[in-house]
This record gives sequence, C-alpha cells and structure tokens, in this order.
Amino acid sequence: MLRFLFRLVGLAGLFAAGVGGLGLLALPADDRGRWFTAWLDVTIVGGAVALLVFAFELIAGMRQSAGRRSAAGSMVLLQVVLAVVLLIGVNAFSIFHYLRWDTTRSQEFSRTQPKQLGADLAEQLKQLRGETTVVIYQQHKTFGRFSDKPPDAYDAAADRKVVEKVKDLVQELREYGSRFRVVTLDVKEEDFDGKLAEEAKRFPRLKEAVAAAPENSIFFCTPEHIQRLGFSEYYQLDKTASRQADLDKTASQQADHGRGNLVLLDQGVEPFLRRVLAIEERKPRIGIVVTHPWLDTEGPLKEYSLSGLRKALEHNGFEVRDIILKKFQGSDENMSLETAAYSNEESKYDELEARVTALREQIADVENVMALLQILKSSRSLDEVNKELSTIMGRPVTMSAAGRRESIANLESEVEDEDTQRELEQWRQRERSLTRDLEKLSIEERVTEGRRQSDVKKKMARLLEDCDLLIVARMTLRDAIIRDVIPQSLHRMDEVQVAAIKDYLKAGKPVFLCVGPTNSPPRIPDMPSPPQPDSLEDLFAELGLFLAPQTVLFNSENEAYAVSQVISFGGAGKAEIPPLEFEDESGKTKNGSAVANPIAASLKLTSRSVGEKLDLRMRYPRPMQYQSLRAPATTEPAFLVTSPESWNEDQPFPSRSRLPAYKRKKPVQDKPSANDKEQADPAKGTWLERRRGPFVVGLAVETVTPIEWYDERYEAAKAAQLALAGLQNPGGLPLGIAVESFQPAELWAAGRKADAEHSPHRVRIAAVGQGHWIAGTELSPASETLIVDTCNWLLRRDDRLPRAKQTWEYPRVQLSPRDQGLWRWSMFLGLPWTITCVGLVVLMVRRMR
Amino acid sequence: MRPMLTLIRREFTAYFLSPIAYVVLAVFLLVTGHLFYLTMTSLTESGPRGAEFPMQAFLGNEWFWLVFLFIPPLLTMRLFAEERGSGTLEMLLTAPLRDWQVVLAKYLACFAFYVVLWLPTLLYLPVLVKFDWHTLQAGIDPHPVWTSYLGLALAGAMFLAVGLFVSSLVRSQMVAALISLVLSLIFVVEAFWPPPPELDMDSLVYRVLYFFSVPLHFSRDFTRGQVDTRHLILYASVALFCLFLTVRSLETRRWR
Repeated sequence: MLRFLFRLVGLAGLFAAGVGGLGLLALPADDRGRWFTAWLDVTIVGGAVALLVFAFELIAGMRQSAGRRSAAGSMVLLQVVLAVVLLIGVNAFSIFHYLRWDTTRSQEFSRTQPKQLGADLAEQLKQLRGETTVVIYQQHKTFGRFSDKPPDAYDAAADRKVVEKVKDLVQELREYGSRFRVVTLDVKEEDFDGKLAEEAKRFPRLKEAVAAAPENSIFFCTPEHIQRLGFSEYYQLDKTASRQADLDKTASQQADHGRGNLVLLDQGVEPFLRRVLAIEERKPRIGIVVTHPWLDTEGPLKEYSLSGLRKALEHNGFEVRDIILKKFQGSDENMSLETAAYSNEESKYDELEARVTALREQIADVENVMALLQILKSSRSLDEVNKELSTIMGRPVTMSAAGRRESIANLESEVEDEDTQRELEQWRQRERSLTRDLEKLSIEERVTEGRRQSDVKKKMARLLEDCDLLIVARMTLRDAIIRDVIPQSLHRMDEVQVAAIKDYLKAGKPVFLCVGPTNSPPRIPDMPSPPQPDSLEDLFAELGLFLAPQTVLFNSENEAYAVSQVISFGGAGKAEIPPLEFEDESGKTKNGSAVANPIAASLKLTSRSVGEKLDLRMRYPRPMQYQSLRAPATTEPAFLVTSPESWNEDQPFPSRSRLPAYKRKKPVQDKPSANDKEQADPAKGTWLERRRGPFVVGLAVETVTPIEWYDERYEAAKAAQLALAGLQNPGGLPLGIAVESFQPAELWAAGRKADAEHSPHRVRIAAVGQGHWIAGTELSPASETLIVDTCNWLLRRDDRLPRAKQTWEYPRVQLSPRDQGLWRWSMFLGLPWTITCVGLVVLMVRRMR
Repeated sequence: MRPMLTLIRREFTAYFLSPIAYVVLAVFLLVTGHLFYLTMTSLTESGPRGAEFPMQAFLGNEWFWLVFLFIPPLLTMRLFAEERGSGTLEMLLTAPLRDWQVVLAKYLACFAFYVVLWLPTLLYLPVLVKFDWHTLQAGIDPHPVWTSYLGLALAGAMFLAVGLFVSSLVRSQMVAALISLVLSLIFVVEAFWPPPPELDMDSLVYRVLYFFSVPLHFSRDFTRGQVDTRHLILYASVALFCLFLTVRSLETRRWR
C-alpha cells in the first residue's frame, strides 16, 4: 500500500511537471513576468518529486536484482545507466559542437561563410551581439507603386520564395552565434493587426515604417531604429524572364504548354547583411536646393511642389532637407529678391512669425476699440473723456454728448455683438497655438543658428555640411505654347552660393542636377532670358558636364504648335511625346567605355522585372554631354536618351512669325544663296549643331575634381599654357579642359605634396535636363525608380541597385508528354505491381514444394 | 564469423519467404511511386510553380513519413518476438554465437532488407537529377540525393534498432510493433503535427523539436544537400544504444 502511494505521488509529480511545462509553453509573451515563475515552480517541484520517486525505484530495483539475481545483474544495470549517460552526453556535446557541410553545387547555404562573403563582413557578423528582430512584412505587393494591379501568380510565388530565402539566410546567420527573431506579418492574416500591435509595443517606430512601406519589405528592428529592405533588394522577380522561360524548348513541350518558370534575380546577401550590421546607421540626408519655398518639398501648390519627391525619398530610406536660396519680399513692383540660404524650418519660422504678428495686430485693433468703448461708456464727464481720447489718439478730440452716444452705439454694434466676440476668441486661440509652434521652432538649434548667421556662404555651407547628397531642382519650361515658364534668372545662384556648392564638391560629395532648359520667351520685358549659363553650370562644366542652352522638341509637337497658331493656347500640353530610352546595358556604349551606365542598367532591369516598359516621358528636356580629359568615364555616362524623333531647338517658343520646326539640310550647293547664309547654323560642327535626335538628357559620371580647385598655381600654369597654345582648341573640347592635354593634371598632382583634404577627390555627379519631372504630389513609378536609383548610385550604394549577376529558378525536366506518362505510371503502379507479382510467384513456388 | 554470416543469410532470406516482405515492398513502392509522380509533376510544371529541391518534394510529404513510421516496426517485430513466442530463441542462444553476434546478425539482415526496400527508388533518379545520358551529367544538383539517401540509411538504422530492442523485450509481434511504433513516433510526430509557422526558430521549443524531429532534419537539411553532425550523432548514438540494450536484454535471460 505504501509503495502504491509512493508511486502515486511520483506520478502526480510527473503530471504536475507536464502541466507546468504546458503552462510555460502556453504563456503569452506579455504575461511572462507574472506567470512564468509560477509555472516554472510547478514544473520544477513536480519534476523533482518524479525524479525522486524514480531514483528510489531505481535503487530499490538494483537492490532487488543484486539481492535476488547476481552481481551480474547489478553490473548490467550500471552499464545501462552509463550507456544512458553516454548517450545524453554525446548528444549534448554534439548540440554545442557540431559541423555542417553544404554539399550543394552552388554552395546555396554557405552564402554567409567568409569564403563567399569576404573576411571583413564575416568578422563584423561575428562581432554582432544581442538579439535582432527581423520582421517580414507581406503586403503582397512586389513592385511598390508599379503594381496597381492585384498580384498575379508570379508575384505570389515570388513572395513565398523570398520569405523562404529570408528564413534560410537568417538561419545561416544564426550559425555566427547571434540571436535572431523572425516575425512574419502578412496583411492577409486575420490577426495581422494584433501581431503588428504586439510588435509595435517593442518597436514603436514599426507601425509608421509598415504604413510607409511601398512593397513587401523586411524590417530590421531595434527599439530606436528600423531599417527597411524591399523584397526585391534581396531577390528581384524577373517577370519577363519568368514568362518567357522555356520558350526555346522542344515543340512537344510547347504543345504541352510547358513554359514559364519563376525567375528571381539574386541581389546577393550583402544588402541584407549591411542592414543587419547597420541598423542604427543614420539615414542618408538629401538636401534639395530650390529658389522659393513654393518650389520646395512642402510647397503649397501641387504642380510646383516637390512633395512627391520627398515622399518617394522618405519611403526609400532617405531623409530630406530643403535648402531655399532666395528670399522674396513684398509683391508686384515692390518685390525684392535677396540672396539667402535657409532651411524649411527657417522659412516656416518666418511664416509663423508673420502670421502671429498679423493676428496680434488684428486682436489689438479689436481690443483698442473695446478700450475706447469702455472709456466712452464710463461715468466720466464729457471733458474728461475728450481729454483721455486726445491723449490716446494723439490729437485733440472734441466730442459732443450726442456724438458720444452715437459713437457708443456704433462701437457697440461693431465689437460687442456675439460674432465679433466669437471671432476674437478664435483669433486669440489661434495666436496662442501659433505662438507655441513658434516657440518650439525657436528652440531648434538649426533655426536659431540659421537666424543668427548672416553670412550667406557660411550659412549655406552649414546647411550643406550634413547633407550626403545635393539635388539642385530647377523647374523652368513647362509649356512653351502658353509660355508657362519659371525664368532661369529666378534660379540663378549668387557667386557665394556657387562657392558653397563648389566646396561641397571639393569634399567629394555628390550632386544631382535636375535643371530644365534655360530658354525663356523673348517677350518678357522684366525677365530677359540669360545670354549665358549661370555660374553653377560653369562649375559643372569644369567637371566635364556641359548643359546645352537648347531645348529638345519632339516631332509630335509640330501638330500642337500648328494648332496654337489658329486657336489661342490651343494644343498646349496635348502633344503625345515618346518615352525616354535608357542606354543599352549590353556593352554597346556610345562613349566606348566597356561598362554600361549602372543607372541605365538598373532601370532596364527594373523594366524587365516589372514586365512592362518604364514609361518615363519628359517634355522640353535639355541636351547635355560629358567631356573630360581629366577623368575619362569608366562607365557609359549617358543614362537617359530621347527618341530619335526629336531635334534641338534654340527657341522653343512659337510666335506669329515663327513656329519651331526642324529644317532638313539642303543638298550642298556650289554657291549658297543669301538666305542660306542667313539660316546657316553658327554652331555647325560643334555638339550644339542643330540635328535630329537622339539626344542625351541624363548623365551620371564619376569624375575627379580639378586640381586647380585646390591649388591655384595650377590654374596659372594652365593659363600660361593656354596663351602658348595660341587659343587652339584641340579635339573640339572646351578650352579650359582641352588645355589640360598640354599640362596634365595628374602630372601636376604627382609633383605636389598635399594632404587628403587638399587633393582632388573622386566625385559622382548626375544631371537630368529637366526640372519638373520630380514635381507634383506623387511621382510616377518610373520617376520614383529613376530618382531612387540615381540617389543610391550617387551615394555609392551600388549594392542597392538591381543586379542580374545570378538568377534563380526552379529546376525543370524536359520530357515529352509520352515520356512523362511512361515515367509516371511505370514508377507509380508498374513497380509495385511487379513486386506483387514476384511475391505471388515466390509464394506459389513455396506452396508447390 | 561464419555462423554469423549464416545467421544473417537466414534472417535476410526469411523476409522473402513470407508474404510480409512483398506486401511491405509493394505498399512502400506504391507510396514512393506516388510521391515520385508528384515530384515529377513539379519538375515539369509550367508557370511559377516547381520544386527547388526535388528530394525535398519527394521526402517532405507527410504520407511518406506515415508509411516510413510503419516500416521499421513491421520489419523488426518478428526478429526476437517471434523466436520468443515460438520458443526457438533458446535454441538460437545455444548456437556458437555470442549474444552481440546474434543481435548484430539480425540487425544487419533487417538493415539489408531495409536497403533492398530503397533500391528500386534509384530508378527515379534519372528524372530527379535530370540525368543526361549523352554527357553523363546531372542537370539538377545531385548532391541532395546522396545526402538524402545517407540520411535515410542512418535514420532507418536508428528506427530499426529501436524496433529490434522492443522486439527483444516482448513475446507478441503485435505488441512489439505497437510499442516500437509509439517510440518511433517521438521522432516523427512533427511531420503530422508541424510547429506553427510563427514559432521562432531561435526559441528553445523549436530547438528541441529540431533536435529530435527526423522529418525536420530531412526537410531542412538532408534533402537540401546539408549534412549536420548533430543528426548523424543522434541517429548513430540511439542506434548503438538500442543495440546495446538489446544485447543486454538477451543477456538477462541467462541470469533470470
């Protein structure tokens, strides 16, 4: 009986330990603190009781066997115990000291090994400590804003595969000893909101990041920081290749509809790892240089604001800062234009200050009237009232009793009615709220420092200092027919501003120009078109980037111009212009460089991946070219090219007497007529010669800053060489650059000693010959891709540009339908049937015997 | 050594003299044939479907594990239980063989039959690795195939050893089969009761599951060309432990 009770206690302990264990498993994450200890106690106590009883039983058994059987029995028991210990020990050791061999042909699961990854990254991974949470967010949208249509079978399959691949990669990373927690958030799951809220408790910024994510994303979270990686930055679906896969296979297979596969472009593990390693890295900051607050990223007018640009950049992991270059004060003929450099916050501060001042004046007006009314209504005598009014108004006031009564009646009707009182209260509330905002802004260091600083160059340098990339946005010609144009003169920078940008470039920091044509309508008296490009364009010419003072017009615009001749404003904005082309990525480059332009290659790849052409259209772009002896482009510089159905025009504005049109060249005549001579192109033989397209309207190059930016003596030496050269222009290059063929900068640089700060830097620059493609509240998907890819390239984040180095696809076996049928049925039914028959024969033979 | 070889031969041929071997073989090939059918469909699919690792599609199905679960008990249930039930065990133990030789001989015979069971599945390989008869090259990575067969051999060795040990403890074949089925289930249950997808792979629960779960070893490692010493050591150590227990179990008859 006692033995039975003892065993019962042991069983109860075992049961309690089991229940405790289940309790521990079932605990929700947020209740751990409260219940964990309780369940753990139950488990431990129950387990201890069970173990005690088991040990007792074991000893009793041993004693019994030793007593009743022999010493051999005890030895066996001991051996068994030792074997159990050995079994547990060996396995426990193997858990912590194990080896894994990846035998796959492509070393698919060794992508984070030092051999494949490089020693640096591997070492950094080894240093990784603490827990990293990886949130896989599936909104079933693969290509961000490209995919307005619901996802198709390829998108869905790619989603699933990428999730698998992410989990595999995280598993590999765990081998480095770091802890990773993977959470999958799928918008199609019922408990999506709950799971998101749960995670948001740990990572407060996650909700915001999820809401802003344009596509399926992977978030790397710490409580303070979140980094995002689009699915396509890890494995990019190549829809075109997926659809076309196996098209070249046998006719029999095509007849069997055996086409299509899932083709993913492997972007490598580096983008993923860099996010893991740099979760707390600050986002790159992009400064956007404009001339007026209306043209910045928070401008109030939809078509002029760059709010879409801000949204696109922020969604893709950049920070944006506006830098405004001019202060416009007054209006109409009293408008003054002052060179400045201030941030959006400062602009907001000025605006708020003006609003508060206006409100305070309004309130003061009403309060003054109320004060007057109080005086008039007071019990004082008429003389006393007149005397006080004279003091307040600063002139003698003589009011009769009737006048006093009338004034009281008038003022009462004006300020003591309910509407005025309500309005006054609203003004006061608004004034208080605006004052609070103003106070908040005024304690921001950037604002206070900016307002304190009066030197524009220093101020601009300070604003540029913490920008990693600068975008100069110059929206100019929008519609030539209705003469919708922001004149170039408004955008023109002051010398000090250009000097600040030069210093920025001198430090090797990248700049992206989005500058429209400089042509202005000839009949704007106040703002004549500038005869020469401004000093900013000269600055970029020193780097080899030349912007033509022309506008590219498309053949299709001829009709619109013709309509405008018969109907006022007719044809405006109606021309259907052809989309831009990207330079060929297959090595056929115009510049003779071996490598295709990385941005063009990336855009073409995106186009292939999305399965549709990137529809990027720019009206009135500006031609440009890259020429430099100093740093011949290592990659093709051009990445945007117009259609051949276009021409370059010096005067794109139609007038009664002239319509912009391309005049075909006449056959060569022995004696050109006077008219021919008049129409002769002065730019003939140069890159500005009037001709048919295509024209380069987008350039991106990595070049070297000129040595004369750092060493004035070289400038002098160049001038001397120029004088000696007798103003010859070798190779048709601009003189400033061509003269370097006599006095190579490299030789000069080699002969001088200078620190890194005073030596030429490699710098990346890009330009697009139009300013309003980035304007508006929403960027088109193609424009967004272009801007993001260009910014990433300029910031030397080449690993973020889509690549097609390696593709992944499902393995396929090509079999004719007949062969497929034979294989299927012979293996599925044929083999078992054969075995069954053999078995029956064997049994029959045995029976016969 | 010769008596041991004789015993192995006797035990091995015994399988083919009873209908059970043919039934097991036929059912096994029917199921694997069906899985081959499905895998081949994946390999000849159109559109964005397919199987990245054909062996994963082949061995990752719960039907496979259901059948696999029954095979070792069916193969081992008779090894000692039948002898004990029919009273021939004493005769066997009087043979000029040590206990461990008896156990090893029976185990090797059983394992040989297990290997024979798998041999016909080699016929599937030309398709599963896209073998080109002209160049004698595999179009699909063949390494996951051999790692899968390595895993199958070792896992089979473990389950057979468990079955052999249970068979040495009881008289009834049915009881032996049931007990070894339950014991094997510990290692295979994950195939029928998979962990929730949201279970963190870094959690203790998942780690424990991953350590014991044979289907998980196959779906994550062997069928994808990965060889992990943890699994190999688990299979080998459990197999050796069970063989050791079987020898000791036989020995107890001497001093009982």
